[in-house]
Amino acid sequence: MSKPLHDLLSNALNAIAAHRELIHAVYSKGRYIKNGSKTDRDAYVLHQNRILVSDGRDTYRLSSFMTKLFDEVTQIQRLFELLGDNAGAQINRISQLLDEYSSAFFAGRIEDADHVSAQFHDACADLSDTFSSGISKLLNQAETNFAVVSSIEAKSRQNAHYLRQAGRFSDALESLDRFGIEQQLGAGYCDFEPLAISYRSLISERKAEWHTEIARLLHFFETYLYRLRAIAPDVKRFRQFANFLQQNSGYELPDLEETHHHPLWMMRDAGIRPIAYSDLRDGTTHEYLREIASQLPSPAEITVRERVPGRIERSVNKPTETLKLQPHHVALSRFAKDASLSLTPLSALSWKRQHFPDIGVPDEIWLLLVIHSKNSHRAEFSKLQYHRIERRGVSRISRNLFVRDVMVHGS
Amino acid sequence: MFERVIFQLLEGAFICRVSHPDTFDFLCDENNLRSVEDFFSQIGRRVAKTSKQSGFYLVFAAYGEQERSAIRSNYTEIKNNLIPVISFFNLVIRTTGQEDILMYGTAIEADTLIGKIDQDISLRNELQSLGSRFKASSSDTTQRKLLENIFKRLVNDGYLKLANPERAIYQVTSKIEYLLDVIKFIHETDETLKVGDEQPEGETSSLI
Repeated sequence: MSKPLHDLLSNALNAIAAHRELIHAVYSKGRYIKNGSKTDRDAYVLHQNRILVSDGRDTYRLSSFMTKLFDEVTQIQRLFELLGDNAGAQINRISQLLDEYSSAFFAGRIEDADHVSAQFHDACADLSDTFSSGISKLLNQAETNFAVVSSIEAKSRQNAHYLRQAGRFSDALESLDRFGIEQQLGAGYCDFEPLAISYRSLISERKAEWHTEIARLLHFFETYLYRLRAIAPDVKRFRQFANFLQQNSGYELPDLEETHHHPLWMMRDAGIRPIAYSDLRDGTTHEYLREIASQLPSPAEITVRERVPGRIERSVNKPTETLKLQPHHVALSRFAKDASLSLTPLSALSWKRQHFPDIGVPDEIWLLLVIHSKNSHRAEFSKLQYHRIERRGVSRISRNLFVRDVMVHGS
Repeated sequence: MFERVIFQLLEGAFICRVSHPDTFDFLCDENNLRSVEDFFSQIGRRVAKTSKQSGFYLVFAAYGEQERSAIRSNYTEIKNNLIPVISFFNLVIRTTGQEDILMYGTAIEADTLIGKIDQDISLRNELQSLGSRFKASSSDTTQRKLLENIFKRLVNDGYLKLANPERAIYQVTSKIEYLLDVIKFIHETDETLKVGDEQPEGETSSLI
């Protein structure tokens, strides 16, 4: 007794899920060779479910359906893949099923007609899938410029092959129109409604899109093939020349100036940089010019010093730098001078307020400067006597001393 | 647009769909091309197409005394730059195996390229020597930086266009066809190269 359909399907799906790692390995490596391990049993189970096919006594490969499915999923490009070959046969099948349906319908075999209707739906879905997946693969080849191969010759062969495949899709689409399936479905001599629904949704409504894509692909493949064929001699020449250069590193291009033949590339004008100036008499541009001028950085001053040959320039023309004293330095110096001449001790604060009230130095800082001048080891301060007038902090326990003034006089 | 086209051509640019898509479309219109040619005919120049028709560039309308010095200086520049540029494209072909790199519009991924060069010592050495040919290397330049410098140089020279700065993808411009034209001419005219080509055949026949 044959197993029910859903059991077979469940078994197959379970086998795929349970042995997914083995399936992955076989798809990646291309085959599985029996090695006496536990995995041999897993391979056998997959073989029973027709997921692996036996290839000789000890080797298993993934079934072509599974490989095709994974190729679709991973978008792997194969060499010389057959994409549009099935389309013609599938269209024939659709036409035959249509005839079969009308025969069953007119003979009153309703069950047979229902069965054929279901098969017709599947046939339409198969054809639709052939077109969609085939076009998708062709687009992938076109977008990647046949990335699976590298040399120009190999690309040309791939291109020619896929151009033929795209042509087959185009022919298949034309034959769909030629068979007149849509006209038959709409003829009304039979109840084709179930078939028409399938055909319309799976094929008719997508035909325009397929036509556009195939026309685009044909154009691309033809153009690319033309370009590949045109560039092939150049590539060959380029590689020869590059190899020659590698072997003859000292090679220099010949002098071709005196040649009488002037090819187009030699006549090239390498170009100039046109410069234009603003018309300053034109008042309308003034505003823009002013704006531009305001954004320009100030020019750096460049002094050109002419040098006499055979002579080393000494400091004759060297600019002299004058060091300018700060105001408080000047004030300190004057204070020291006044203090040394004064007969009585001179108050630093009073003197500053009298002579330099606006030097920008606060009184506290001035007193600090005066105190520290004592340790400056400069002659003008070394002979002076300093006497600090201090006060203690307000708090009884404060140990802070505040300098209120410094009295200075000569020794 | 007319003005832009005029200036780009005057500056020596190769106008193609990769390098200058807007102005290329403008020049593809026959009426526009005619108006541009009318303008240049008045200053002794004309617009030429690269050998595979993918780009436009400016040429002298005639070979006279005035043009001779410009053509001479152009050829000197080619003499100085041609070999490093050829070496670069040859390195890319050797590294990626993709011969279609010599077709205008082809993309070069800098990251993929440097990844493959890193894995092969001979390619690394070749890149290093290419760097010195381009004067793009110094003692502390890394391989990646070196390649970046070379790419930058080729973008400046108009052979490449930085199509995607984030992913460092460059595209070959129509100037490659100009380069191939120069090689073809040298190949046909330089006797040294013909001797080089014939040598292997001679050796083979003597063996037979």
